[in-house]
Amino acid sequence: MNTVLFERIGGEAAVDAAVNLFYRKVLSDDSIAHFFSNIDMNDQLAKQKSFLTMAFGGPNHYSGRDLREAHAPLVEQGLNDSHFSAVAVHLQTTLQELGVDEALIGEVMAIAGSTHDDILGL
Amino acid sequence: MLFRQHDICAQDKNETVLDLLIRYKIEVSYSCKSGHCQACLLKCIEGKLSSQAMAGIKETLVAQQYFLACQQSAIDIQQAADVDSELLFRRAQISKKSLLAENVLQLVLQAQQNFSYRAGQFINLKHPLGAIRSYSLASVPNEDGLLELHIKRKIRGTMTSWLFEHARVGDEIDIGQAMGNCFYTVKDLDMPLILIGSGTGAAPLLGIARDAIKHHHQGDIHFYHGAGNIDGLYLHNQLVTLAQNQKNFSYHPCISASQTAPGMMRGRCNDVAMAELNVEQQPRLYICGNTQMVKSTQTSAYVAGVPLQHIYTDPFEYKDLRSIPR
Repeated sequence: MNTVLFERIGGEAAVDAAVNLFYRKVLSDDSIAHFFSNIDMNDQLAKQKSFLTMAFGGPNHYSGRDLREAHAPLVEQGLNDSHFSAVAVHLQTTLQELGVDEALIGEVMAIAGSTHDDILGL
Repeated sequence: MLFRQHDICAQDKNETVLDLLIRYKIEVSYSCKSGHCQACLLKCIEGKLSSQAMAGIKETLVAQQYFLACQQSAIDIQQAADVDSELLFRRAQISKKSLLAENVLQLVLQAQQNFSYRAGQFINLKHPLGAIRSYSLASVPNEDGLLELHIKRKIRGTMTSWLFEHARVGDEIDIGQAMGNCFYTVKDLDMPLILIGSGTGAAPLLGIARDAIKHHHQGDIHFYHGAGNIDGLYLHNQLVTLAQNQKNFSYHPCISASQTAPGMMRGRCNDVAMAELNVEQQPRLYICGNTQMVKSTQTSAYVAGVPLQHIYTDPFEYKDLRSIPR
C-alpha cells in the first residue's frame, strides 16, 4: 500500500468526495451502464469505494484474483478494452473536477491501469 | 450436500442450494429467488455460509445458521436441513376480504397482539399446502393488530386463487414476521416524500403515507400511482379524499397505456415523478412495484443527485415459474 499517495490525495475524505461523482458518471454512460443494471446499488457503491481506496493507494483488501473472479461474468457478457478505458476516463475526469493535482492523478491512473489484465481476464 | 434423505452434488460453484434442490426435484418452498422474500430459508448443519446468504435475516436466526438457499453456493454446504416452521410463522385470522378492483383483493388479517412491524414492510403468507408468497403491508401499526394487504390476482397463481376464491373471513392463515427496509422513519420531518408505485406497489406506499401523516410529517408528500388504465388505479377515491383532507399530501394518478381521464397524467408514474423531481429540496424517495421500474428509477434518481441512502425501494419480484413446480 502506498500510504504517501493516499495521504497526499486526502485519504478517506477524498474517497468519500469522489465516489458518488465517479459512480454517477459511470451510470450515466450508456456504453457501460448495462453492466450495472442487475446489481444492488448499495453493494455496488461500497465496491466502488473499495476500488477508489485501492486506486488512491489506500488500505484495501483487493487481490488480483478477486478482481478476476468478480469480473469474469461481465467478461462473458462482452466486457472489453473500450469499457475499461471508458471507466478510466470517468475516474480521471472525477479527479480533475475535484481539483486533484495532475501528478497525483497520474499515480492514481497508473494503479488503476495495473488492474487491466485481471479485470478483463487476460 | 446432505438434505433430508438425499445426498446430492452441485454441478459447479455457481449452482445455489435452491437450484440444486430444484434440479433434483426436491420439494422446497421458494418465491422471489432474489434474496428478498426469505421463503427459501434453510438451516446449515455443516458448511461455510456466505455473507450474501445471511443478508437481511434476523440476528437470532443467523445465530442458528439459517440462510437463504437462493443466495448460497451449494458447493460450500455439506449438510442442510429444513427450518422450524413454528419459529418463522404465527397464526393470524382473516377478518375482512373485499375487492378494491376487479383484480385486487384487500385482505385484512387479525394478528396476535405482539406482532410488530413498520408501515411499508412486507410479510410472507403461507398457503395451507405450503407455498409461500410475500405481500406488502398497507396498514400502520395499531393497537387493533389489523394488517391490511392488497393482493393482485395472478393467473393460476396458487396463493392468489386460494385467497380470491376459497379463503373465507374467519379462516386462519400462517404469516411470517415483517421484513424489508422500505419504511418511514420519523426524522427529517421537513423534507418532501416522493412515493412512486406501480400496481399494488401502492400498498406499501399507502402504509408509508399513513405513517408519515400519523407522525405529523411537515414536508410535502407526493403520491405517484401508476397503472396501464384507470381500473388499475384502485386507490383513486381513497387518495383523492386523502388529498382533500390533508394539506401537505398530493396525489398524482398516472396512466401509461390508455386514454387518461381529467386530472390524470399520461405516462409511467416513475417518468412523471422523475420529470417533476427537485433534487435541491432533498426529497426522500420510496419506490415500490415492478422490479425493472424500481431499479431504473432508483438509478435515475441517484444519477440526478439524490443520495442513495435517501432512496428506499421495494421491488416486487414475480417470476413466472409455472412450468416448474413452485
